[in-house]
Amino acid sequence: MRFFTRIVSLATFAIVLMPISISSQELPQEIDPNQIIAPRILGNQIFQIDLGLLVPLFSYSTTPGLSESESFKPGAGLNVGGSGALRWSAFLDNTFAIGLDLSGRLAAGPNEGVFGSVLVGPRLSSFFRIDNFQIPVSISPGLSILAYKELSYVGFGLRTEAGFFIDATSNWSFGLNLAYTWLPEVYADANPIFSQSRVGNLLEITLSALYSF
Amino acid sequence: MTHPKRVPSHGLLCLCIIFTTIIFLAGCSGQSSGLFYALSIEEPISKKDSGLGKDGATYTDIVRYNSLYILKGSVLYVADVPNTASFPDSGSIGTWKTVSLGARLAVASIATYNNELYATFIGNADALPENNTQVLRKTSFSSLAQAESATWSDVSLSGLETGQIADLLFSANNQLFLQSKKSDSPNSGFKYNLYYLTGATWTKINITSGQGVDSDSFLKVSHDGSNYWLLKSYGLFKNTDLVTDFAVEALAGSETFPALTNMVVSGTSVFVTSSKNRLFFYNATTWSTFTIADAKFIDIEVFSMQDKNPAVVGNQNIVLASTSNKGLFTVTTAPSLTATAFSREAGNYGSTNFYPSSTDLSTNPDIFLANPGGLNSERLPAFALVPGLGLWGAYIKSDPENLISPALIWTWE
Repeated sequence: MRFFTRIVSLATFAIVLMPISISSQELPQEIDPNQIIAPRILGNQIFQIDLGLLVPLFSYSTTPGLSESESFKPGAGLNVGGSGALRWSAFLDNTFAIGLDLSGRLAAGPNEGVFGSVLVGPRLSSFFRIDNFQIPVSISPGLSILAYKELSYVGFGLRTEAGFFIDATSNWSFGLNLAYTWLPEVYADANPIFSQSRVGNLLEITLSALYSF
Repeated sequence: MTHPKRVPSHGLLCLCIIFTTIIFLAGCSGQSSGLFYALSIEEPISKKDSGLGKDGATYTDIVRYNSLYILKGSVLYVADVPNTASFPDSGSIGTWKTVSLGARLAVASIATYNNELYATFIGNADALPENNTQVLRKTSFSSLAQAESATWSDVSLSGLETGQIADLLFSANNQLFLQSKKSDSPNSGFKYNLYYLTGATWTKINITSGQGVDSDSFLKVSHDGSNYWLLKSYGLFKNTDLVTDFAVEALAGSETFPALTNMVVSGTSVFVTSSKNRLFFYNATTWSTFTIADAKFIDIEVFSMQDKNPAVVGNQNIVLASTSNKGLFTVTTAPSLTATAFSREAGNYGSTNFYPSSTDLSTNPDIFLANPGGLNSERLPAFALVPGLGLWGAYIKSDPENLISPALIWTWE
């Protein structure tokens, strides 16, 4: 499972960073008269709002010596929940954008407890555009705040995502967003002990609206 | 029109990396359990449609009477003991029925003796003063229907000292005990006596002069096959018979006020809990004392773990209730009781603090444990009675990966 996570992370980094490599080659770009939204230039901005489902995938432990049933928990012990996000980004060119990401998620535990998570941090995005379709691919490392019952944790979180948008007007695009959120909860030694360190892996499927200005 | 492509600032990327690194290193938490870990071990709690109230319901005692459970709240409930051959794999405790109290207002205590159910009641239809209690008994019954409808008959209070009124019942070694109380005027509070039933008369039990505290009520009466044990918060008293005086038992490491809270006898072993973080253990010869910081024990029960798991035949799993937010502790008596064997109960309780999540033991200090099934090979549940959260049954979960410590799984009855 760790191998799978690494592959996902590496693939996301590669997709996000690929346009940087391409852009360094200074490729010329023509305006497509059929595109509803004009190519982005430095200073163009977008605002995005997402709302949808949270699908907990699994949690796992990196502690050696634990049995599989102890170290791997399908569904991370959570039920399907809800997810939402607000994003702002400014374009550096037609492809690459940098901004801020604020996302939150809620899901019920096995009983009445509610799991809550907020992730806030910078956002790096690449926008692939084909006709009037946009395929943004983003990565958002940031500050993760987790809460469940009386338990809480503040640390690092990473969110990688890909979307598919259809341009509806010169400002608005609508589409579907798929996000993979990686939430490590790492302890050094006592209270809680190291063996209780876990990494949560969540999938978010959201409907998204994207405003370009 | 074309827009020149721009290479993103490496400075921005560096800032992102620095920001991320700082956050990663700054991970922090202020509690004793990991969050995803807690979620990984939390198991769904089954909520039975058993006929009992749950949220807001308070029950304070449960006893076994033949093939029936008798549960005490402000009134009495009765249910069938499940078939021990198939429980809990199939079969369950039946629906709870309310036992008619007639015109009486509330039950104060219950006990079984001589194949009859005894109870003390507070108040009756004649609007007697609240402190005018009665002792009544239901004669032998063997079915749910009989238990519901059987009438109560009065038990004489002959033998009680003048001014003493009936208070609480206990039973041990097939003897029935009655604690009586009398207002300690002009001081506030009561003075308590303990009697046992001989025929139709109550006979007073005496404690060696100067060793007992009259204003300290009796908490429990037990018998280990040789000795009777009387528990008060101020001390533990022992005697081989009920006729001669009971003498105080010196507990290892004890002090003037040991704040004793409960006791359980298992074979010839005696376990006594203290709200001063202590468990006293008597192996029929000597006393040992175990201390766990911030674990104000208020109750103890011994759960038989045999039958479900051959690896632990002969072992007895002890569960201790604590008023601190550490909840329940477990310890196994075999091969020997040692302080290092204590661990927090790892069943579904451990991560749920008894459903609902907003409530934990720190706000429910009076959790009671009961094991009316006894310490035989039967696979009957033990119980926890949580004020405001009803009755909980503990079942042994067979865990092939963990043969030594099968977990107790709690179900909301």
